[in-house]
Amino acid sequence: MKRKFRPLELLLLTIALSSAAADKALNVMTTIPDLADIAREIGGHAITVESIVSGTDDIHAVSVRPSLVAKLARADAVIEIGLDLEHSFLPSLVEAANNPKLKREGRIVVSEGMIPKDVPTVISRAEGEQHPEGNPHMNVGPDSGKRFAKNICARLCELAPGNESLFKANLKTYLAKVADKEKEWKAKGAKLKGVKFVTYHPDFVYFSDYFGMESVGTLEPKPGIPPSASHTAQIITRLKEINGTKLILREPQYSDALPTAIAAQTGAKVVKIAIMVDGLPEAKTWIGMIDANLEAIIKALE
Amino acid sequence: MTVRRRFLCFSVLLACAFGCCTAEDVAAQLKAMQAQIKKMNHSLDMQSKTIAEQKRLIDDQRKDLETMRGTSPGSQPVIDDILKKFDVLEEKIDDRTAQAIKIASRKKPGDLNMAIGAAVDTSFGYTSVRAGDYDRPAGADFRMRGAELVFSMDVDPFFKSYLVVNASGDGENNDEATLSVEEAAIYTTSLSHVTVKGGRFFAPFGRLSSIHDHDLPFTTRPRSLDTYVGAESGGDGVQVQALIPIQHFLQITGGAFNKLGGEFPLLNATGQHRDGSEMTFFLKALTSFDYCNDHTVELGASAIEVPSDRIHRDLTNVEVTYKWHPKIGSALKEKLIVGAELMRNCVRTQFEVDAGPPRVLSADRRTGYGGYAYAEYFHTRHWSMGARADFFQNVDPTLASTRTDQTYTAFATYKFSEFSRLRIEASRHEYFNGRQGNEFLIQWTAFWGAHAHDFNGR
Repeated sequence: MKRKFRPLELLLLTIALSSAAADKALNVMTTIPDLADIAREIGGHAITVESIVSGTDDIHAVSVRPSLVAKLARADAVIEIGLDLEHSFLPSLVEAANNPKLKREGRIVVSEGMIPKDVPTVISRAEGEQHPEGNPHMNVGPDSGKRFAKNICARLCELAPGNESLFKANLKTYLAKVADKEKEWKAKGAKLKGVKFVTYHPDFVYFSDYFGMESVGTLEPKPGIPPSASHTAQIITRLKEINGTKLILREPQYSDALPTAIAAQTGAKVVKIAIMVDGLPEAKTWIGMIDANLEAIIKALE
Repeated sequence: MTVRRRFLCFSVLLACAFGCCTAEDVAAQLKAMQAQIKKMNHSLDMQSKTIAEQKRLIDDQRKDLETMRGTSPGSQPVIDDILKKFDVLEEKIDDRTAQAIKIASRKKPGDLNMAIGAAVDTSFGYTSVRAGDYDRPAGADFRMRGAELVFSMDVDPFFKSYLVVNASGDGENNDEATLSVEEAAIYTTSLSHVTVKGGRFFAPFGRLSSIHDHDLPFTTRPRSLDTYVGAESGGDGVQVQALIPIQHFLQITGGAFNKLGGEFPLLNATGQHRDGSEMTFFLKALTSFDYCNDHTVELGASAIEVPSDRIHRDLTNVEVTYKWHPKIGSALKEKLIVGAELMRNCVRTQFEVDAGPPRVLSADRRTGYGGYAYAEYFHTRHWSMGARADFFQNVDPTLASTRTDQTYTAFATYKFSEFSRLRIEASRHEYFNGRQGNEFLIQWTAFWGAHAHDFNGR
């Protein structure tokens, strides 16, 4: 006797098998929007992503909202830069969320395996609000995206092995895209070599070192310490001694009053930069942020 | 590298905290540590330079091949193949580097460091008239408000524990500072959505009762909280806190204690039998709402009760906190916080009048209302200023007054960094005994050691 429901059985079997093979979408939180962008590129439809911080937040003084606790309580993973960058908000939120996953397999630190710059030799609060393991603002470095993407891919594969082929295929596509952009950045950024600049906070070293720019100092005398009159006078003196173009790179998190005043006295140009995705209107993605910063600086040099 | 350095730093801090080292020993150890760090940094620098040099060689080869490809189209497939191999080689260098760094950064068993932090909180003040319930004099007064040491550590995969010891100048004891254990608790870390805590700790009654004095947004604790709760809401007991597993933030906390604060007393401390009704019970619900990520409103309701027949007390509280923290535009460095708590205090007590054999003379039930509201505006990350209004009604049946105690306060804070601040506060008091007074305070606070941002202190 013919079995009437064979097609239905086959359909149900197929659905069951495909459900077993493919994990449900991972719920991923990231600390900064750059990591959310890269995670979306790698994770595709297999993950949902949200960033805790927005592109214009001061990462050292993030306002902790209880609603973030509820989101982290349901998350499968949280992606962070590490190196103490997120110390002002992430540990307290993770503790309040009480999600065991985020304390173990669900914690993804993208700076793993990367050599940090500016590792302090003297650990002391007298040196300001130090990051003892090195400068954590790695996301602004044009060569950081590749390592972030690889680390995110490796960990997503562990968390959702059923989607490993998707993650790896997306990683390959993204790495190829970044490789093409790197060629473009190197070509465009050649004119940045030797350009002297100041920033408010030491958060641009990974970008400036990549292009061979030279930092003259920061408006903060030490990290996290507000500018003083004597230190500002020193910066003005240093800028006045520079022949040629000099730049004051202004992060959106800090006031523009002081950079504007210094620029008026020294002839330096103030350039708005982003230190996170969405820090500038054009910086909608991580690649877009590098593009936007590069364009802004090149425009100031012209 | 950095893990070992951190372990060495905390070892030195711990030794100093317990007075095990002389200043010269510490200086010598620090010097040796600095030399070691320099050596390790030099080694890493050399490795980075070698890697960078290898990559530069690959880049040079790549450029030569690109040039050859342009001049010799016939050899293009061979050149393309070589270029692909260079890409693979560069990727292998990156991966090998990453592995080496991971191995170097691996934590060793000796790195199970406990977090140690401290706070030193001092003030100078002048008060024209003091209410009868303070242990400080009127007039000029320097005060060591608190020297606090905090230790915390993951005990194992299931629990975390912390200890807070505090000493402050005692006006009734020649300003000597007596060390006391303010908090010592163990809590779970492995239960999903639920935390169980036991020991001595502050129950999260309202918004500010569980905040340590030096962490308050102002110098003095609102008199309504001081009088109704009795300083911080600390006690020995057990508490269960649950984050309800829904999309919206909703947190429920319940606990049982021997006592809470100074106003929910320890009944039958040395008596024959403590009835369950003579314990202090606590319950709280907290939720929050966001609007456009720039505005947050938190709403909470809490209650403390001692259900005993002999001394029945219940204190209920509603709290609201509004935060404006703009994300874009010229105002993005600014912040505004507005907070308020309103309490209903209901006390029924039997009290004795004569000094003879204790006998119940009267039973009285008093109900009073109290609370405060404040606003603090943060002009920048370093500067803030605010104002507070505070009131409460008397519920002490031994006092005849039916007046309302009122305080009006203005304060301003400057943070030199995340770890030190200076605050000035000026208050006008109208006490319920009919007296009035002015108070002026300068507070200077410093934090050192391990630095943790607590969710309660948000």
